[in-house]
Amino acid sequence: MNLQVDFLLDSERRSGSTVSRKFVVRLAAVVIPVILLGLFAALVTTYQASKNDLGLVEQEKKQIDPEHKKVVNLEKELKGARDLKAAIQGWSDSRIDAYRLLRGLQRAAPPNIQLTQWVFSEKTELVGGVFGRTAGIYMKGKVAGERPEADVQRLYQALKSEPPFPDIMAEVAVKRFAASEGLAEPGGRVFDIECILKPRLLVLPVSPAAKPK
Amino acid sequence: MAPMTLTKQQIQLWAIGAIGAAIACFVIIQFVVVPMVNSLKDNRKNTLALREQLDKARDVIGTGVGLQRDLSRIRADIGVLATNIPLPVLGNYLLGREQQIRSCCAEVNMKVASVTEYDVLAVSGWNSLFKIYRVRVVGQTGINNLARCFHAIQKRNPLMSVTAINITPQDGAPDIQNVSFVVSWLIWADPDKRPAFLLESAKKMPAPTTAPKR
Repeated sequence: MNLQVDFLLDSERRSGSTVSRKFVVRLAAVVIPVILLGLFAALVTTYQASKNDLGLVEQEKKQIDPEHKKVVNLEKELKGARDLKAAIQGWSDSRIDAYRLLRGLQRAAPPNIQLTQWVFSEKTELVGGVFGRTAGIYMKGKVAGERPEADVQRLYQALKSEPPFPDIMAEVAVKRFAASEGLAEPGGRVFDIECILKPRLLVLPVSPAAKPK
Repeated sequence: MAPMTLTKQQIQLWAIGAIGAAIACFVIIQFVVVPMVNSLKDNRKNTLALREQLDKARDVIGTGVGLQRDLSRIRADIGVLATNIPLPVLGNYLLGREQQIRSCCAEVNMKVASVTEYDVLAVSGWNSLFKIYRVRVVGQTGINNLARCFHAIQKRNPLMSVTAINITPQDGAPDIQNVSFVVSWLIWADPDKRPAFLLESAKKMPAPTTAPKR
């Protein structure tokens, strides 16, 4: 029977490792706070740098702001001026050429037709949500000759198809065609024609699709 | 390595120290590091946003010269157009308009019976800066002369328009008709409150005595 007796005290024991546990603990006690401090210093430096960056950009913005505001105001003024010009131009462009209208009427009326009244009336009103000029023409006349119906028909066709009417007329209608007892010539007729003109907008629509027909 | 034998008191001290260190770490992280990190993030975000704003502002500033040029050109155009917008003389629009109408009618030998104020239309739904001033003209003339009269009226002022016409024949005179028509002018709703640049140019230049032709 073997008996092994260990006479070494605990304090006398030595580890086989080259690095002692005590050293590791001491090293860790120094390195970990150093690393933490380093990270904290890096954080503080980055924070300061970001603060400085922000300060610089804010400073730059402060310097640029008055000029920027000036240009923004300029943009507003330009928009206002454009609107004003468009309004004046719109009023000018939307007017009916009364000279061409009368000349066209002179050309359109056959010699046998005598107009007894010719009324043109224009209004400024909302047309499909946009302000525009709307107008109508009302004419009364009498017609003599062998074929009064054909003459009125010719006037009606001219009002629909001869220049300048196709560009300006939206609707032409013979409202009345009747015998007149008042006319000396037998077979004489009286007639009324009503025309509605295409609306002319005071402000041009942005897209052609918005234009009323 | 000799095992570290700690007394009970030492263990207590170590435990208190560890707890103290943990609390200190928590406090530092919670009240220093986290706010600093948040603030850093905010700073970076704000810097980025400001830089974008700056870039946009620089782009806008870059267009300034072009805008100023366009504005000057458009104001000049408006200035020319505005010379056709009549201004009242001591509050009276009719005198000047009647003179214009009568001179146009005289050019074509049209007999004018009367030129009277018809109405002043507010068109604030279209543009609150303007109103429409209308005058009614009554006379006798042939259709040819009337057409020529309209031509003269329209040529004289591009903002003047004929907005109503009524033609009826005269008994016993087939070449002469009774005519009445309404002429409309675009006027400023409040001449004293028209755009400032027009008021300035009006101060610099004397008012035109005759309306410019188109």
